[in-house]
Amino acid sequence: MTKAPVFLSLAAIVVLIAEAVAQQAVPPAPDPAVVESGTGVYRQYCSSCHGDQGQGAPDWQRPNAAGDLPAPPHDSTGHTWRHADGALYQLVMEGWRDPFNRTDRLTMPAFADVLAPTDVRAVLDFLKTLWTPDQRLSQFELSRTDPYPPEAR
Amino acid sequence: MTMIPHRGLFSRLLTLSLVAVAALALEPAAQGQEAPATQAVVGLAYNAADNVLIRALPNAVFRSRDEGVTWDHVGPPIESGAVAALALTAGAGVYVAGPGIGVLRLGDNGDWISGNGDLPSLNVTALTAHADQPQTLYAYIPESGIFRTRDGGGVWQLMDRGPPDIRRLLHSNMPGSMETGWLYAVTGAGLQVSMDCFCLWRAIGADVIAEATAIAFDPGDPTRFFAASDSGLFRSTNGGQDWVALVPPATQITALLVMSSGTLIAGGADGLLFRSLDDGVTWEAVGD
Repeated sequence: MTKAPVFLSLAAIVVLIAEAVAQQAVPPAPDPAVVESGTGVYRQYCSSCHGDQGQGAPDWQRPNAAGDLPAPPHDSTGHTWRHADGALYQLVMEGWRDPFNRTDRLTMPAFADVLAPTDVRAVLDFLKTLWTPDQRLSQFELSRTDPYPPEAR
Repeated sequence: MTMIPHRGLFSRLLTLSLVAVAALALEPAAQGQEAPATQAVVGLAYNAADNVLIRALPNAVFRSRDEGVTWDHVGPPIESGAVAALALTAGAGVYVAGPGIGVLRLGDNGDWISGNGDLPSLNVTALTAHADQPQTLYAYIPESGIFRTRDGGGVWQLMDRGPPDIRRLLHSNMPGSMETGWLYAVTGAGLQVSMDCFCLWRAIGADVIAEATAIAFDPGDPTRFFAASDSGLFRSTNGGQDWVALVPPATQITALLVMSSGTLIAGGADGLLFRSLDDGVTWEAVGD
């Protein structure tokens, strides 16, 4: 048996592996059905605070009259993309209070008793469609070490 | 060459004495000796495990194992540039940074190792270590922004532009962050804070603190902060939202540190250190 076929086979394997690795480095395309479901969840539960287009409350970077920060945007002008899937999921389920707020109210209400885990996953996947490619890639890399919990996958 | 005219023995002795005094005045400080007291303290750190107090001046770093009575010079060798910041990691790694020197790490053998990695320049004007993650540090380059390393200085990633004119950075593990903590910045326009996800920078203490020069938090209670400005010293018990004025020591404070015991250390523009054991009410000089 000549060495040429062996060499070509090995080269082909290397190329296939390289392509597979390259594909792993980009976020997977969102499931259209999940995004559609998430759009509905957003409109019903999120848009009243975060805006119908994810643009956030007016003047969201300044405390309101009560001394609390208004709801931030979820689109590319916001900072949602700076958090991993797991962190975002936990924040939606458990809520969060900004310690710099003047009131004791939760800054972000908790939805654990309102939304199913897969609904939270769906709305977060919808939000990802509002980001730039670089933001999606950055958030994807963050989420490698902090993914959605099993119940949301 | 102009000869100095001599007019007898007394005149010659006087002349020689004046020349000797002038020569001593012009001689530069030797390596290993205490730096001139007129250099400002630019950074303070405390290794609680080994009871080591660390003080950084623009041209040298010193360590004390007897609470500031005596000091050992530990470098770094500086050919050009100056130390502008000192950071002690959660793993007791000692780092300095400054324009012209970039980021340097003190090695186990006492040598200084480059921590510049892939930073775009050596013009690092602020540095801080993550309060909990031993390999995470943040460095500020004015023309670029805030960089983060998670491997002790090998790979740096530009995280955020940050507010303009950052002079000091401080990472705190105060609870309540969406991520792993908070970044406080002493800027030319006052104090600013952001969660370490860089989600939003906001001004704090603007109504009481102008021209801030230093900031520190209590590792035993990360909601307690101390900040200094040209006009005084201030304390906050709620992460920097509200501040009360304290009586500062007799120096223009350029660096602050809260030790694990709660002892407050202030470093001044004159290179001197002061210590308060009662939360800033009274002060004593360190080393006396």
